[in-house]
Amino acid sequence: MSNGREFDQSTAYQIRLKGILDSSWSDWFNGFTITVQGDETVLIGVVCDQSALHGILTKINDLGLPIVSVEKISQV
Amino acid sequence: MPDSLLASKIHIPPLRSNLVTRPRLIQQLNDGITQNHRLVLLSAPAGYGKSTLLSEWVDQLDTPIAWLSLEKEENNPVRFWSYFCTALSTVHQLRHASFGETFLQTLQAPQPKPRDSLLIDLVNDLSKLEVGVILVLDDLHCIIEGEIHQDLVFLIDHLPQSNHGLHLVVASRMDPPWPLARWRVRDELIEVRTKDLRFSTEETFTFLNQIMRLNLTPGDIALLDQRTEGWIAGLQMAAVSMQSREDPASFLGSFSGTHRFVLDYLLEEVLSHQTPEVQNFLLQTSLLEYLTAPLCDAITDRNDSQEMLLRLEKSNMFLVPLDEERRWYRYHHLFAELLHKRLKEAQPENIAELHQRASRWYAENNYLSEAISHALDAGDFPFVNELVSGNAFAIVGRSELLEVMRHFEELPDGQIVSRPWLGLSYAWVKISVDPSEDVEHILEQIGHGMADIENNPERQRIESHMNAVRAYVAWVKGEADKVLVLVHRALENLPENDLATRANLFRLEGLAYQSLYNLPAAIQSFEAAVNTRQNSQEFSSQVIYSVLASARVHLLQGRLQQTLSDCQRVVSLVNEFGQILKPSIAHAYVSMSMVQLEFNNLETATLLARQGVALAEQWKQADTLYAALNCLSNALCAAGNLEEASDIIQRNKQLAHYISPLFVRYAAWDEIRFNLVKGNISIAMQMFAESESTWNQEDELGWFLITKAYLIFAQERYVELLSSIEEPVRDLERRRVYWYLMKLIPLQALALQALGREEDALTVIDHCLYLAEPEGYVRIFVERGIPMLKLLQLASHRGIHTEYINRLLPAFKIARTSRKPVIHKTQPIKQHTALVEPLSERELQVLRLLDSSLTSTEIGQELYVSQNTVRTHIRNIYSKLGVHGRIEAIQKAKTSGLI
Repeated sequence: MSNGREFDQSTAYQIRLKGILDSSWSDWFNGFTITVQGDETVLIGVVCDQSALHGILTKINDLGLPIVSVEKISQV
Repeated sequence: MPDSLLASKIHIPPLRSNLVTRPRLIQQLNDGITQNHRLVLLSAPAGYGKSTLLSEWVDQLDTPIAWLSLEKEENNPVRFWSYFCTALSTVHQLRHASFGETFLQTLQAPQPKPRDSLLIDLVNDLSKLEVGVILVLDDLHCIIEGEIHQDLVFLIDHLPQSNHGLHLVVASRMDPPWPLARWRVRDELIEVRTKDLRFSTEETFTFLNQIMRLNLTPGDIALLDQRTEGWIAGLQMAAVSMQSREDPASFLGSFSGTHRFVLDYLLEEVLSHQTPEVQNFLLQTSLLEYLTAPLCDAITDRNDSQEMLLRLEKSNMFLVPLDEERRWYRYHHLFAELLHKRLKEAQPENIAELHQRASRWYAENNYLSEAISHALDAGDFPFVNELVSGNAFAIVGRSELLEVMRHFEELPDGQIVSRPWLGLSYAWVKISVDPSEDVEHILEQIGHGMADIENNPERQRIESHMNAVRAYVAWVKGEADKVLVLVHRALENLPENDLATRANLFRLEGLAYQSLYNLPAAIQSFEAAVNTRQNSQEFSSQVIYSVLASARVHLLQGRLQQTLSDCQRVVSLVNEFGQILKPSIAHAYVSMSMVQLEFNNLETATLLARQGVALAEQWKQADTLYAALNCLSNALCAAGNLEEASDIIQRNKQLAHYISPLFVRYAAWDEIRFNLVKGNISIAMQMFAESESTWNQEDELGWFLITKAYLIFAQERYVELLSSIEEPVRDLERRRVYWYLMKLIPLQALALQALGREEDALTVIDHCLYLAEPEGYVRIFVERGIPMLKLLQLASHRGIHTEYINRLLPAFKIARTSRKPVIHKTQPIKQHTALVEPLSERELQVLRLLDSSLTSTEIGQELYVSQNTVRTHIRNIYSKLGVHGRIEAIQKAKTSGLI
């Protein structure tokens, strides 16, 4: 079981949600940028480690928005 | 969470009116119970009506139900399981005191058993259930501590699958990290998921038209159904929006036209239709986890929050009442999140200020954890430190401290050390939670962090505070001299207005002096602590604790009346200002009980002791509980209730092991003295010999000394007694520690009497009475029984303190049942008994005649008295002997040497 050291530092993720959120939600999602694409919302941002990522996912769960995909973009 | 609300966590939420009933789901849940599945799980995000469904379900059940609403504070295993057991104990089949007690005690022990065997204790307790009991765990997603999840899985796996026993029902916003697949495959799991919870089209219709009384067409309803997809929270908000409009149709139009996130749009709608006043109220109070009118007033700077809250509740503004009296509320989770988000957008500059106001209100009302939480949010770190250091020890309870600790652990790593005030606060919290923690390294880091800053007043102030922490550490280690030095150093550069820390330091100083038996200095320090805080306008718990500390010193000084007055002051202060502090003043009741015991007011003493025990149990501080239990056992003993006293002593023996080696020694001495009361001298001697290896030099003064003296006295080694206590008695008298002194002087007098040194005995008893009279001591004489009675009678005849003695004599009443006789060979009295009130000549005659086959009539004839007279005599005899029948009376009379 590895929680690799590479993930202990800032990592960028893209999360695609079904539904439309406007940009005012950016702050609530810890500064992720919010882009609307059709009937989906794309969140792009940086998390400092895996726990932070799960925190974001929990917030998404709280809002009840279905997740379409979660993707690591690049190492920052 | 405010203490007053703790009860609401295990309270079954009241059924809301205007519900859409969901018979299909109710049936599913019922099946989960009757068909003996291992677990019933409701897993769906917020706003799908899980809790509502559960309270509807629970309402129509016959099975006994318990409920526990979980929050992040329950991530501490001890706290989690305490609440678990507390919730279960609301079910009357589990109401007996010992349910879960073994389990909880072992959980809190310094060296806990391996987890599995620990939980087996709980499983065993639960398996004794003869009926089915349901426990609902609501909001399980709050629990993120892996250990608790492991334990729950173990529990679920080991619960018997049958009609009786515990049925667990869990509601969560996400699947718990449990082996659900395993249980699913074996058909041991009932699940209610999002798809089940969504409103069907029919249910949407019922909700909108029947319950919310909107007159919508089927087309409208279909639209809403499609737009919200049966998400109940969404439908609720839509309905509220439409209710307040004259033209619901236009709302529908724009609602369906936008693709914006449902809740986002709806909140906008709802808010925009409120007055600016209400909008502001909603936004500002959204910061609060729990709302109550005075708190809302403080935050929003209004005075009509109570009306506002009631109005909001009535208009369905997602305000959930938490208690029957409508004093506390909270917002529906999602609503609060959205409001909070809006607040950040609309009034970002106000947020810190709002948190500060909240923090101060909470602080003034003694909600420490919430005060700290908001102060951290406000970034007001010096205030955080004031809160923590000012309440360093003896706060409202250990579990609250753990909550506070969590706030710090949630902060990002670097923050604590880079901010000296936070570092100090963290150090305080750590040592309050676990006094054996080494916080010196935190202090060093703070020191290093400050190395570059010039030596200005601010830096000196921080260094003062660092010394305050060190003083507390020294206190905990028992290094009283070091405490005094550090306190002095800390006070040097401490600003006058750092009231909380000043008071704290004076109190530490007092405690150090007390442990060195420099009692007058201790009192001075405590008074300084009280004065520091009394001059400030806000009420302070520190005043209460300082007065309480004074009470204990006054008790050591033997100033009984003053002690009572101090304690009464503490109690009335708490009643007036700080009800929630009640459990922490258990010692006040204990001290009052001890005083009443000295006055020989046995019933009062027992009542007060029981009260002390009840409070100590609530407060969950083991050493206070020990003291309270010990006090109760003393009162019971004095009243002759040796059985209950014995149980308590055994309980305390167990408890002592969880506290410290010192308490284990106390427990040994307490048990030795108890055996002396029962007359088990050889057992007492054996115990004393066994405990010899644990003696400590510092124990010489105080209870060790007293226990030793009692033991030697009981063995009638009078010469040895006199020589061994001569020096200590002088010492105690010099230092005026009259509390201990008064337990020893009577022994001196009686020993002298027994050795035939009558004049010396009278001199000593004279002195004893001289010291005792102003304070009203009674017990120290009464508990010594007949020999003391004789000595006092002699003294009285000689004109020594006649009035006082005359007041004392009536108190020498009958000794109760289980006292075994102690034979004083040197006493020139006919009756070799341990009776305090002797039988009269006539009664002795009757007693002798009872030891025959004569009936009471015949006895009357024998003595030329009426049958009634005989009966009266017999009654008195039984009463004085503490027996209930003839045979018992004769037995006792023979063993006591009466006949």
